[in-house]
Amino acid sequence: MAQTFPATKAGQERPYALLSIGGYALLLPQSEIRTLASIQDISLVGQRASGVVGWLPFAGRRWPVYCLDEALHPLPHLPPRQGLCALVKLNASYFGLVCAHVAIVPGSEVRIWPVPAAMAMPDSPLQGLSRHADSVALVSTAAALAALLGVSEATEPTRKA
Amino acid sequence: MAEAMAWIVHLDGRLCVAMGEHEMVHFIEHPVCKDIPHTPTHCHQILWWEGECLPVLDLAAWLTGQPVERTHAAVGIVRWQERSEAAPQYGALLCTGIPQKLQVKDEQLCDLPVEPAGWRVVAVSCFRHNALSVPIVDVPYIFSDALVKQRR
Repeated sequence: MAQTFPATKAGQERPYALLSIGGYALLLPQSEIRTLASIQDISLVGQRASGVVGWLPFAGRRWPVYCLDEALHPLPHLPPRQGLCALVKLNASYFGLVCAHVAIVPGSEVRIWPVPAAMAMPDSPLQGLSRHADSVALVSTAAALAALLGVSEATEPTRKA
Repeated sequence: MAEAMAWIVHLDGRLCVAMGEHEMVHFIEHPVCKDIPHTPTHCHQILWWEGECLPVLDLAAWLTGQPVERTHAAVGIVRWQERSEAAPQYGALLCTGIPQKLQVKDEQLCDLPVEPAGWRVVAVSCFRHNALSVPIVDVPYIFSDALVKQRR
């Protein structure tokens, strides 16, 4: 059968990181994950309008940490059973994403469908869709998530005492 | 006098559409659809079917501008081609009940219903069936990005 919206096979040299967050999965290029940290390494903050749930120290600075719900909206607090923070690299800065698990998936095992034309919205952080178990993994990038969260190079967090 | 086979699909308890015989290829009751964030309310789910990722279109929601509750949700798997030599593409149209196949004659041609106004956007023609005006929907158009651009 011909393909509906032709999927692409990711290149073998480009593995992906599969972040399990709550009831959904987020697929990012592994090259955009700088490191993983325990949730205990995060300095939590109270509820902020910015969506930042805490700060993670790395490379002499502290970087904002976000927790996203299934709609990819920032949660104002840490939900239970999320024990990891994936530090995502955005050019010369970083931001953290809280998650429950991280798995590395070889590019040869990743099949990505473009978001169907009828569903595509301007400014969406979705770069595609992939199958994960019986569900779906949302394919995105550091830049797309940063735009969604309002993280930018120009607004790097200042060092905290 | 020309005749053609068509499917009538009930979008909800009130609205129905028709499409060509070869545009409907499969029917699924109680489909398992997955929500996708950052998508329009009328097309916010996908369905895995035959190893492919299909958009699930709620045309009734787009036409009425509000969410539609269905007690017996189903989808019709529809097929279209952008060009005659192009590979077929597939989508899932949310509906209720089992589609009905029937023969349509030229003499059944009628005007589009006035309401919802969106019929003028998504329908290419209309015919009369059992005192009901049944718009013939433009399948490639409704599964393009056009309805997102013409958000209601």
